[in-house]
Amino acid sequence: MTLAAPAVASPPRGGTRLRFLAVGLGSLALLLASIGAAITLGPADVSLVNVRDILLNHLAGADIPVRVSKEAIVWQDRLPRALVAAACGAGLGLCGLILQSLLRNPLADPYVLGISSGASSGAVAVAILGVGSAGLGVPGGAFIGSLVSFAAVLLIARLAGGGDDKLVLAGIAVTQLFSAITSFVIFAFADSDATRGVMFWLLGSLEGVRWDGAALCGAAALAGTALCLARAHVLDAFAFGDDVAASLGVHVRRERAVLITAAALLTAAMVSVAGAIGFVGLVLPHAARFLAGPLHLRLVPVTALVGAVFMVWVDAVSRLAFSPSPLPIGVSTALVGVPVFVVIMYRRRRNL
Amino acid sequence: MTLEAREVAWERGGRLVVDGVSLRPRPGETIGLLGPNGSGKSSLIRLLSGIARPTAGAVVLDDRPLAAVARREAARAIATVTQHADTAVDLMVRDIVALGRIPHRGAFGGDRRADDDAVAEALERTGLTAKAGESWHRLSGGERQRVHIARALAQRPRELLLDEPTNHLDIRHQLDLLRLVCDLPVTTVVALHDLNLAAMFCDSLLVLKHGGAVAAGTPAEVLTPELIAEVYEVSAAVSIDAATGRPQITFTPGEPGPAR
Repeated sequence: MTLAAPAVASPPRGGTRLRFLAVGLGSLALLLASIGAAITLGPADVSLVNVRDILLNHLAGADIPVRVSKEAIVWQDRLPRALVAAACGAGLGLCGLILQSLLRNPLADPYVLGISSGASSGAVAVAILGVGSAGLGVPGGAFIGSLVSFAAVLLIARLAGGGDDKLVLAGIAVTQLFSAITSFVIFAFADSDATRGVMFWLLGSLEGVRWDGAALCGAAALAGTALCLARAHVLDAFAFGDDVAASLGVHVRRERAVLITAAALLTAAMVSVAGAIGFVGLVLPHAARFLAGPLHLRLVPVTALVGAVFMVWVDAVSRLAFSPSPLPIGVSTALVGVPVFVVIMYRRRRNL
Repeated sequence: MTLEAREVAWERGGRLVVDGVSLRPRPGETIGLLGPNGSGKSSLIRLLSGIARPTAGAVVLDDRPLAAVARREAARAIATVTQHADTAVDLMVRDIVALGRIPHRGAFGGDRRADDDAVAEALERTGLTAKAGESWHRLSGGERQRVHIARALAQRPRELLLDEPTNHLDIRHQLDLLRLVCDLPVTTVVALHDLNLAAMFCDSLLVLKHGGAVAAGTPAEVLTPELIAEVYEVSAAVSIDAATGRPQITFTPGEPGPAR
């Protein structure tokens, strides 16, 4: 996992625009190379040359002979899967970035705050109970679930008197509640096959994702990146709280609503395709700050790129580590994320 | 061209925290807001800044109700330094001062030269040029206040609102900071606790009690033993400092204040 490296990389402070551009282009190249390399990894033997040929055939209308089985593995399975991984990394990283800025809490992340959990409940309610399945669909259920759970977290935190710690505690309560609801629905209404499938998905899994999933996640991640870039100054302005943001000309209530809805939408899109992948949104913004500094105009693209590269490799490792049975990707991200969570808590104790 | 409060009132949680206060600063002057804790100084500053809306009366910017002025436009005219503005983000002094340029920017940057000039000038005026690369978390309390004021100056405002900027500063930094503020070519409204500092630096004063205005005028007109007894419930002697011509307040210990 290439991206343990940012912590060691040279500090960004006072970096020139040129260096920023180099980091940006470098990350983009790294992302494309990572996706290409990750596609070659796996039980079936596929070379980089094969990958290039298959991509040329599909994207550039070339007609290079490639064996049909390889073609199917790359185009139907590994490529959409790598793209979903990249989109999830970028999207969840941006969610963490938005929440950490707006809530002024370095521990904020869609998983810790229970948003992923709510999205899972909503998705399961649609998938197993068939609630409103006519027009809603699994992503719609996940979206509504994520909004409901996030509203619950904010409400509980406010009732408890506000503050950083209250928010995390409220997140724990809401996570548990929605996990229980999800388990109850599975236990009461799903048959054993459905249970197995759903459980795997709840841990976060990229098994069997296809192009429709890649399209949804990719569109969400790109739209999220564009929105965050356009709102980069707004995200900066929240550094000293709502009052300072307001005195800097930020329409606080409106911007909060827009950005939080965007975070919920992004989470919902990712959860509906890949399940609840934890701790990515927490860890990636912190890693990106080492590279890009604290200002969002640089932080947003770097978070998205670093997140994408990180997840492509986490997914590759998860596929291969216990091959042929795949490790749910949420397990891998939690193994990386929880120690980082602890380190952040420790550093905050020292600072404040 | 000024910011003006016309009979503003603010009811908050069933309590009237600001009660029919009017304030009309002359361009360029420094107005001190005085009054005990809970008298409505901070609330009045919040109303003037547009962070909060009055429940009656109006705050007016250039003869337009502030509520009708776009937030960004208001932020180009009015800069506010609130109390207790802290951050967990690891920002450099220069980054924080540059936040003051946000109201002058579009979504994707603006006039970089003007931004750089404004930031450099704000750092210069507040004596922070040498600290521009320092992290917020390494600064002292006085330096942090100056950074906030520099951020406010980078907004290039016409009106500057300061809520108890001298809190938690030692005496030298209190004097330095108020001298800086008074020398700025902007209209300033500053909430203060220390009557002697207010007498020394302000052109005029507005005294609040229970949200209402009880006195207004020059320091010599306002700061009388009678008013201090009425508003702060302490007894004090007031003399005129020969060097500055400003009132000087000496508090008398042990004597009970007069009945309310």
